[in-house]
Amino acid sequence: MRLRDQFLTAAGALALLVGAAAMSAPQAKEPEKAAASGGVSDQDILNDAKTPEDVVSYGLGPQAQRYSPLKAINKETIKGLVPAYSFSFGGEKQRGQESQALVKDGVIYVTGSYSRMYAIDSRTGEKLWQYEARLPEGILPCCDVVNRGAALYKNLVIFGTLDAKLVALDQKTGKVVWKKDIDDFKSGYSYTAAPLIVKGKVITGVSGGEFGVVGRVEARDAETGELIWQRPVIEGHMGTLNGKESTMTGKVNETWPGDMWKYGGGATWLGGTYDPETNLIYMGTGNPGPWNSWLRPGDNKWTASRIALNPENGEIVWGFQTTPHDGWDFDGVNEFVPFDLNKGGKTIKAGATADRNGFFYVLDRTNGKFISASPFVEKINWASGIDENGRPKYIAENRPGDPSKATGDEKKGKSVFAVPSFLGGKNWMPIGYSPDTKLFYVPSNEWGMDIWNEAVSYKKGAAYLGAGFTIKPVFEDHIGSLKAIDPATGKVVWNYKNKAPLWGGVLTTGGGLVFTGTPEGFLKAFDAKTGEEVWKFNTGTGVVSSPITWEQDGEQWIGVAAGWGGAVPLWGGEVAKSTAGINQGGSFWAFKLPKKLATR
Amino acid sequence: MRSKILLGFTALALAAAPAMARPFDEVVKDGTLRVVLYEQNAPFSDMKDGKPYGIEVDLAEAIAKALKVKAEIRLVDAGENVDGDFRLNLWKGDLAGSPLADLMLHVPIDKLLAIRNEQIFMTRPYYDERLAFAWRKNAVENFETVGDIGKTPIDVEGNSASDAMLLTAQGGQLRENLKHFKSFEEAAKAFLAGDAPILAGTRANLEAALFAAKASKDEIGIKELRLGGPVKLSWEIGGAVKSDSRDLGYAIGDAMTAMAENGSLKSIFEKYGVEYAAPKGY
Repeated sequence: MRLRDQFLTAAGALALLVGAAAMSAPQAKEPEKAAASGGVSDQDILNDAKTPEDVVSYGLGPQAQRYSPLKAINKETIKGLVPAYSFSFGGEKQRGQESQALVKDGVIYVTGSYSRMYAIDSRTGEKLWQYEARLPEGILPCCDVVNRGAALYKNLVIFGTLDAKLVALDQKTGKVVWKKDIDDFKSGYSYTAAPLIVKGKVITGVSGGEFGVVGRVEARDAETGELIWQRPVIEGHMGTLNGKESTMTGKVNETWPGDMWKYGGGATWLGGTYDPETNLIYMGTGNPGPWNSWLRPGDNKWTASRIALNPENGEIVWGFQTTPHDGWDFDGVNEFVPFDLNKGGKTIKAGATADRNGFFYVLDRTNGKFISASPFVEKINWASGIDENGRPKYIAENRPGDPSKATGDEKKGKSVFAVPSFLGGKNWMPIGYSPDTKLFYVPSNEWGMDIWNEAVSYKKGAAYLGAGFTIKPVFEDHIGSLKAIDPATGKVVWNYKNKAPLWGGVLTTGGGLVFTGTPEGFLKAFDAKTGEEVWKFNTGTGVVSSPITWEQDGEQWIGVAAGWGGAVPLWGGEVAKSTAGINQGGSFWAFKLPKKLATR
Repeated sequence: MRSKILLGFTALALAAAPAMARPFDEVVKDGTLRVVLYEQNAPFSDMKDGKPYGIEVDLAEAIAKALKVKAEIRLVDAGENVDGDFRLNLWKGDLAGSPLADLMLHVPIDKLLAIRNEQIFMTRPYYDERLAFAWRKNAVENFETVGDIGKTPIDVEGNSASDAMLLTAQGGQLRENLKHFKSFEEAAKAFLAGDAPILAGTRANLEAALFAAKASKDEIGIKELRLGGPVKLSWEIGGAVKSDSRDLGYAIGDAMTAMAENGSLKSIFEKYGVEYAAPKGY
């Protein structure tokens, strides 16, 4: 019976949706047959940003603007926003909860730390089922045991695990439908990002920073998990399509010395976004290896870059490198968010990305052409700016030293203080864009690092060339900084300062609000135009996840996972002082604005 | 792969509460010494036919015998650095909740490393490790100095001590010579199959690989070169225990001393084709 009810709800919602889509976008196609069976169709995913009664994709739509048109909650009514329930992830396993929840047909799908997944009743918070991946002993995730969320497709909910597996569960039962190895966790691979669904394919990257890990993007048949194509992001490596070699990424040795491209790094650990208008997948790529840039002269493509891929065959359509020849661990995986830029009376199909390196870039998303870049954190000192071709204007003395020129007893090499720190002007936490205010909202951190070659360094019991570093706040009173940025001018319109580093994503709404969490435990709401804080609620543990909003029974709801963790508590020093005493947790909080309070 | 995962779970199940590293009397009372060794670290420790195998496996068992307990050996992946391995295996534990060990072997005995890891206590060293080269005598005419390398290709394990040394030595002029492999085993295999004329590695790596391949000393030589650069060319290897288990560390040290004196340490190394190099002053 329950099944039938849900089917009817879904069909009703769909009818509404098709009506709305038909009015605003005449080119919208008929929903596909899968939708009629009550599952999540490709069309549902493409329309996600326009259907506030559900959230069926990471980023509230494949463009990942994290914008919902819902208006009931605004700066006046938000006073009436009340907690509806708090669902505990349970067990002894807590640590960082970085998941963005999904909601469809009265069910919330949310992942937890240690590769766990929960389905809960979206109205009552009652648990429907729970899935715990059996993690092997000996996994060594670099930066906490997080998971960032799942993807819905047809009757499946798909997510990745810390031991580098992709698991598809039945939405109704939580039973495994298929399970595939992304790679061997013993070779240093892992998976923490939310998968992306594009035209029936599940698109993933890889996590891992060990020697031999080369970043790549992969597409699998979302219904079976069978591999369709692979695209390594480092030049010289061959891609595959339908089990056969396809084309080489770039050319061997174009921007790498010797055979170092073979192990070049560039992990695609944050996943990607998709733009239906250009039919391109956008992925960010991580830093090159080895960490010391002097050992690998050249630009080292495509590390620390954004690349655009054809979803049909995995070919790279364009690439843009934010930090060529990275020497600071500016792991450029940050998401590229498509938006329409109004400039000089014209609308440009643009995209924006807030890079680890501290600059906010706007590119032409059709061809990767550089439009503009501006600093979104203060006191950047590794580059004086970005030139008209999009290339950094490096400040030579703030590049960590050449180890082969190191002198002295400890042979430390030159220690430099570089801003931002390797944790980035922005790390993993997703930005948001509001088409109403035409502003981007960027959760950023103001910190730098002392970095040097550590001569007394050992790996696997043998001498090694390591890096020593200490992260330090740039300002005395705050590290975290939520900024509203005008992509047309690069100007910071408002800036909310937070004592502890910000580590959660943002949500923007048609009600003119921006939501984000803080390590201090608050979910906060800000006036999207002015940055005025209009609401906060303490969840009892740090919030380092991305909030969502949806409409149900005529009321607007807000949901967020809570649980302190992530990479910040793993790094000590002065930064740890700002988060000392914050307790771990693991829960999903739901809030709603009761109908009687919403009318205005 | 699969069997190993299961093995891991059994170990977890046995240690119901998160097991702590323990002082000497607790180890004796319990009757087992939990030892952590590196996986894929031949000839010192590796998995062979589903069992731990190598110099340090034998050494751990000999130490346990001397303490009149049983050795419980667990092989682990090396982390980003040895400091991290101390944290994961000896004093804090990993995120998966694996049990802590009483003893870790293959630890570089270095004063600065000890100072910045106050949670652990190092035993006396048992071996003097050095970086070296194996060279095919018919392919490299003279192999006495760095200058003799010229443009000769070198097979090397990526991210290893030898790799770090070669990437930074002599102002980086040897970088283009390097042919990187994922493991020393793969590099050695390529070298022995006639790939590059030179193979870089630790002395123990090289000796064991040549021994296993029954390579002739007339055809392949081993040479240490004094290269200038920031990476150490030699270091000593010992064990580490948690700092509140110093008495265990001393008891292990005494056992090692007795083994060095009665020649059994030397025999263990020789079994794997490695010439025993005593640490300086021992």
